[in-house]
Amino acid sequence: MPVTLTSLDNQEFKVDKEVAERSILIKNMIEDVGESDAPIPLPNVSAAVLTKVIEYCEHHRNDPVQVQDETDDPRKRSNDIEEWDMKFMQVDQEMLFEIILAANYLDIKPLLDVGCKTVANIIKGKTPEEIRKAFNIVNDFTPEEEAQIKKENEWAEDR
Amino acid sequence: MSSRVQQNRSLHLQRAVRTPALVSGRSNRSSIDHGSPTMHDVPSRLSPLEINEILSSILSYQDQNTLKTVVSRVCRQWRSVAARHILHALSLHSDNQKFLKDLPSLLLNFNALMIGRKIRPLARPLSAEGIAQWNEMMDQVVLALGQVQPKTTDEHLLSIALDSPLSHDVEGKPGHPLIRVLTLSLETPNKLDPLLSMMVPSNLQELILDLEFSMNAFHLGTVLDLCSGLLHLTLSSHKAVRAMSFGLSKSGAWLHPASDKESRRPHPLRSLHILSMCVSPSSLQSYLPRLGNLIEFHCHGPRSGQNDAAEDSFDYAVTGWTFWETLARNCPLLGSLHFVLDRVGGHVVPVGLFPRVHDYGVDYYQHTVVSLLEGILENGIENRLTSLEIVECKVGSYIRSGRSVVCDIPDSILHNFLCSAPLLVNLKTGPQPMWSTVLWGKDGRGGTWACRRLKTLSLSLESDLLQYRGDKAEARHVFAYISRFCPELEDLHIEAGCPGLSLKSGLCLLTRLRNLRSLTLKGDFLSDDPPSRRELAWIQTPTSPGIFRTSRVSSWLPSFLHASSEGMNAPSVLEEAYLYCINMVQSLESSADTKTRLRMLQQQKDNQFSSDYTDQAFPMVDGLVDMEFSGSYLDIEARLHAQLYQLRQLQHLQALSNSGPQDEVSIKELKEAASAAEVWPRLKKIRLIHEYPMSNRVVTSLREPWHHVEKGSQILHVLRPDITVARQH
Repeated sequence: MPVTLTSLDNQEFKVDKEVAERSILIKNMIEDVGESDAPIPLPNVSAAVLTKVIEYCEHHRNDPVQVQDETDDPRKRSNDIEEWDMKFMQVDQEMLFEIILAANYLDIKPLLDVGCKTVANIIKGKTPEEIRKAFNIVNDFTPEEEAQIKKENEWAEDR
Repeated sequence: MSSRVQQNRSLHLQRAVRTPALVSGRSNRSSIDHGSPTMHDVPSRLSPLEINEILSSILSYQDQNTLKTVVSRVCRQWRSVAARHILHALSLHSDNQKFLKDLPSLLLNFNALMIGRKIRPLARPLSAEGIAQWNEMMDQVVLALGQVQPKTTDEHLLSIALDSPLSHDVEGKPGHPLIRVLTLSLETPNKLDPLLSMMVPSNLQELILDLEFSMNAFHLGTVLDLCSGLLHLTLSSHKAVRAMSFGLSKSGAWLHPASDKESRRPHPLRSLHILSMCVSPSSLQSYLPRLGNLIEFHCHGPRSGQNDAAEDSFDYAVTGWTFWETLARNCPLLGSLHFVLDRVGGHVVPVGLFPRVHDYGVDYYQHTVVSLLEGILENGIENRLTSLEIVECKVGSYIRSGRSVVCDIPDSILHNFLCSAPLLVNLKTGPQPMWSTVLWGKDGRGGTWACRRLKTLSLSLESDLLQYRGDKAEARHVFAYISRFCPELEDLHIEAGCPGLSLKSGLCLLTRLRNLRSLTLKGDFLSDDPPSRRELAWIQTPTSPGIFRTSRVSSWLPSFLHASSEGMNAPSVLEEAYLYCINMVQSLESSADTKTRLRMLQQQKDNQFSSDYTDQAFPMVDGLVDMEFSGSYLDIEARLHAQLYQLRQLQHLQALSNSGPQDEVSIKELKEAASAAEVWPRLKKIRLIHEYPMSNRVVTSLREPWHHVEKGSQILHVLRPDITVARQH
């Protein structure tokens, strides 16, 4: 049975219930409200982002539900992203951030993890200045703080 | 219906917004620049990097080096979040094969390993299989260190302790740069060099070496050379050392003199702790010219019967003038000296086990102490000394002579020292027979104490009984003197065997000590009389000690309770009270060797405590939760158990016995006591500690459901099966 999702910009998306329930948020809502034809409003997700999210959920519709507790995960590596997911995440940075926010909001942990890994890979190999530039981050350290941090890390940088 | 569904959905949405996958905890101060154009008509241009939980998830994929050197330098928010993931140190304490095999994955799941979980230290070297796994494991450990996501903070700073099954042919691997504190257990000296080369990063700050051998000057030089940036070094040994491993031979010749080149290279070491005399201070002497930054030097003398060579070596050090001269000349910053001369013969030493112990007399150890203090005084070290501890310098029960003798610091020397140590903050000394000399000098002609900054003073005053018997004025002198010349005292501990030193006459003089936080008066104080109102007035002052301990609480407590009823705060200051029952509990047939100590915690106002310290006293201590006692005979202890049946609040009971194997009578008594102990409804643990191995019969004869944990061990724990098993090693 299809479920209708309404995006921030009032576009409606009809998706299979199985696909929609990849989102824990939507799954809980459906369970709480019961079967209904009424569209489910998602006021925090734009149509463009929701399209991407639905695409992801469609692709992973048959994946087992992730129930593993975070603390049980012995390995946290950012280089184990599936090939399809990697291509899926080849979007501009703003879209990437929107997907992460949407995954966080919709409670889709696998998508959130992939998003975080993608950002983690962007960070890798960059200098602090390059990271600031990449993400529009303002350096709010005072010169004294910066000198202190540099001093603390001297021993590590030498190696 | 439709509108109700819509309304419900709205409510659910509101709820759902509050519970995303990662709770949105926005940083207090965002560092994201919002000036960039928006992509969509999204009402909030929140960046996921502004949400600490999402940022934390992203940073959790970074390796340790990136976290420290890159991420922490981006902005304040990133630095704060990265701190959650930065590994400060690592604790590896186990030779369990499965543990070692699983270690890399454990490291990857480092959260559980780091948070408050203390793993037992190594008790034995690795097996052959363990050695084979070592190289592979180390590779993976170093790899894992780069990928773990420890949730740790500075409070959980632990050390990395690795066993040392390594031989010379192990290929060297650099220590991980994130290891700042390293503990190594070493079996033999030939592993010292390869292990340090492999494990020690150049920026290591603290090194703790647990040795099964004694270090000589050469080994010490190796450590200093390989750990060029070391700030703190601790050398300890839990095993006896061999004579010829020391830097000096019996004749005093150098076995491994430091080269001129080595001795000139300055080292940044700030603190050096030598425990159990695993390295001779004489060996250290040749390296003192390099240790110009040394601030702390702690040295624990050899334990009783540990080894003749260790005792000889200690003697060389503290009696050798050159050591103190060299120390004074080369270590201008040295301010803290801590010397511990462990009890020698303080315990009952089995005849023939350590024959050399008996060859040393009081004179030998007294000479050692005198040399130490004179060495300090003659070389001007006292002018900059902030801490001196010479504790437990006591020659106790001699098997051969059957007498107990006290070794003391000569009072006049201690007096001179106190008169010339203006910066001294901490002083702990052993017994002083002529204690008045410590205050006023010989024949009252000495100077006055110069240690006006003293914060901790622990004196043990033994009196000449004939000279000071019954002279309570002496008490006023002691309290007046100490309070006058050491106005900054925070912790005062006086252990007195002087009958003239009375609580009654001088305690109120301590009102001068405005910073006093802890006062301990222990020994034969004449405290039968309750404290006077004047003394209670002192106790109730706002600056009164937080912890007050005295020898005979039983007689004081009614006064405290009375004071409490008048609105004074006396009982509330009694956080801990110790009662030393020596020859007090008559029904227990107590001997001079039997000590009974009650530890009362959080004394409540409505508790009753008898001032009549007879066998009736114990049942009346109905608020007692924690009790420790020691005695020579288990049957006495067992009867003491019986006296405690009415202690409904008792939770912990600990007994110490040093009398060795017991006879059948004791077994029976103990068994009965253990059985009867079930009447203590809140009892959580009984611990029986025997200083010498006891017969297994005693243990196994305890009836069910009680059982022993450490069968055949020197320390036995008798525990009820329904409580947590606690092991002591």
